[in-house]
Amino acid sequence: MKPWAPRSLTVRLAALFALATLLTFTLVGSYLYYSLARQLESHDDQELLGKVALMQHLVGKAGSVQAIRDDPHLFMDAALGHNDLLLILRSADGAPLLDTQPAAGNLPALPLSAIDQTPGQQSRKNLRTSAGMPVRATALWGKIDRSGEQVQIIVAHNVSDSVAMLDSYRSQIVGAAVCGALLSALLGYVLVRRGLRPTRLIARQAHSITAQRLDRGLDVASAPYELQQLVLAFNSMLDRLHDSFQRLSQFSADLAHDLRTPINNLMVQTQVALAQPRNVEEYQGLLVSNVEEYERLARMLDNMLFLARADNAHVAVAREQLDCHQELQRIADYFEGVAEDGGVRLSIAASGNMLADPMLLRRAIGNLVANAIRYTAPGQVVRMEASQQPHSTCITISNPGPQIAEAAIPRLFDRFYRADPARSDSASSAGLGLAIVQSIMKLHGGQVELSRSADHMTVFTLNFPKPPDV
Amino acid sequence: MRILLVEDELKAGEYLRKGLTESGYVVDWVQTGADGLHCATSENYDLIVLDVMLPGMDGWLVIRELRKTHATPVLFLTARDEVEDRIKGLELGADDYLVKPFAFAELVARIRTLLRRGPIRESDTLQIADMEIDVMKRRVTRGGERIDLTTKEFSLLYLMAKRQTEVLSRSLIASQVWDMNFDSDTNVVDVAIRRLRIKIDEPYARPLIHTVRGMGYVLEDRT
Repeated sequence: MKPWAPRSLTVRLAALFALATLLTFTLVGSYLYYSLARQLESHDDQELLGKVALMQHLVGKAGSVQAIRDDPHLFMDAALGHNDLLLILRSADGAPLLDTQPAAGNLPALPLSAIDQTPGQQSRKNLRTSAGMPVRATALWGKIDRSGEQVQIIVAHNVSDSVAMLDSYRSQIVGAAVCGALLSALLGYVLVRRGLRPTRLIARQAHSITAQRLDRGLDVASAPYELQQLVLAFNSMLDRLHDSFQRLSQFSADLAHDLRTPINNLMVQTQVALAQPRNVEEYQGLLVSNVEEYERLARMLDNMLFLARADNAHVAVAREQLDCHQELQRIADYFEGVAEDGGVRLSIAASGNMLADPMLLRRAIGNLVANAIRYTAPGQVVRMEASQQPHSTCITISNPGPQIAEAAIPRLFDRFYRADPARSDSASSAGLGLAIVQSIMKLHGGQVELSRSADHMTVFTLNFPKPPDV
Repeated sequence: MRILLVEDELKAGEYLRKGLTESGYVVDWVQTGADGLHCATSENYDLIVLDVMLPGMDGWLVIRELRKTHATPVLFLTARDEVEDRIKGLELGADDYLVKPFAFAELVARIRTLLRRGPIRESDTLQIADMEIDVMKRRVTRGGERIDLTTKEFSLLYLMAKRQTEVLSRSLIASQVWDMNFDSDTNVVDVAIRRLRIKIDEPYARPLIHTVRGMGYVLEDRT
């Protein structure tokens, strides 16, 4: 927002309307004013030239300068009935011969046009007499035919009417322009306010949106076409917020529940043990069981902190070039004993290198393999594979397990979600494993996908995008 | 070995003093940063276990003051483990950093590492009771009989032999043997230990690998 511009869109538009109107009126008014002035002037000039011609004629017919001085009636008659006409005749040396309106005062000196010449545009001047009368005047030499004497002829036409007319016309134009500007500002303000009413309507709708009613959104149908994009964008933002909010609420509830169970176990177990004297083995058993419970809680807290930080991108991702086969082999080694206990075989098929943070990568694959082993029947194989795609490295962990219900798939990566709610007492898993896998993939700019292969394997695919320059 | 424990919380102070005393250390426990700094500068300690969150003078201040005059090793305990905190602690001269909740075995292991004078002597052979480990040839014999171990089994045995009599927590074992630095919910370490026992303990009269319930595992000759 520029400092000089008002904050209100309505005021700003109204002001701009006013400015535009003022400009238009001024331009049109100026044009009309000048064309009127031009017309009046040419009308005055016609008069003037007519009189000039008459004077030339009369001077030509006069006997001598003396005759004009003695009998100016002829000239006076010419000016008779023309109150707005001044006639001045002077001898060649400038001595006054005749002045039809001495009251009008003197005229300033004028250049004299030559004899027998019609005074041109240049020699016609707008002047004021010494008495302040505005005139259009011209001067020329006249010649008496008989004596050959030269006489100065000065003809002036009183233009006060024209001047007054133009003056009033000018003030009318200014008035009209100012009034028009004010009117259009006012109209503009009202119209823009009316035009912007939908925005106020949208604002009113937005006011009624609260955390509990994020899903209401704004009414797209009632919004004008220009605002629909904005409303749609706003609504999709609300949807995303609503979704996050739902997950967050669900997460808090799940968290409370998941903490409640182990803490309750700890409390009640310990209280029962304390209710009467026990032998040492029993006390030790209780303490060991408590430690297991505590370790689980600590793990859960660690995982939750990890997730919270990953969400806020507070986890540093130190990417390194890693050999796919070596990494999968390392994890297979780690789970080897557990897999053998369950009668499950781990097979590896991998090639090429990849760019990832080794700690995070191992954690993600480790979570998937632990899950796969858990859900695989004895005698079956868990497949660990890595393949190079044009733009990514794919790591897949597949196991022939029970099919995951379609309904559960979208929520499978949510925190604390378990496909089987009855497993919530499971000591082995806090339900954060897959959420952590997803977070780790997001940190790497990749994603995790769950699919079902043709040979009825549950397949988790980790897509690590390759950097563009490799 | 004398350890100064600076911890304001009563319960935590009590159990840490008890645990460390039973692990064979002489422990002085104070509850404020000012007392901690006073003791640390006026007495001779081999190690200081310092809580970061202390009333009044916090752990950061204590170590900043202490480092002006003393180079006593300091192990920080904290409930916060933001990366910035960790960096700050190490910049101020902390030698190690342990985040609550931690396993007691982990604490003892860290303390031992800090108190060790110089690096561990990597000997070519290790001898525990009648078991002999040839590190170079990666061969294990017990009572003269050769025992065949997989690579990982050998790494596990070697780790425990190197740090015999130390209780090793599961997470430490997972990190040292498999380079897996996160706590998984699986019982991988327990399974690995069980398989190792089948090979090196079960055929013989005297077991060498012992479970310390609720803490971890230790390799020692208990005769």
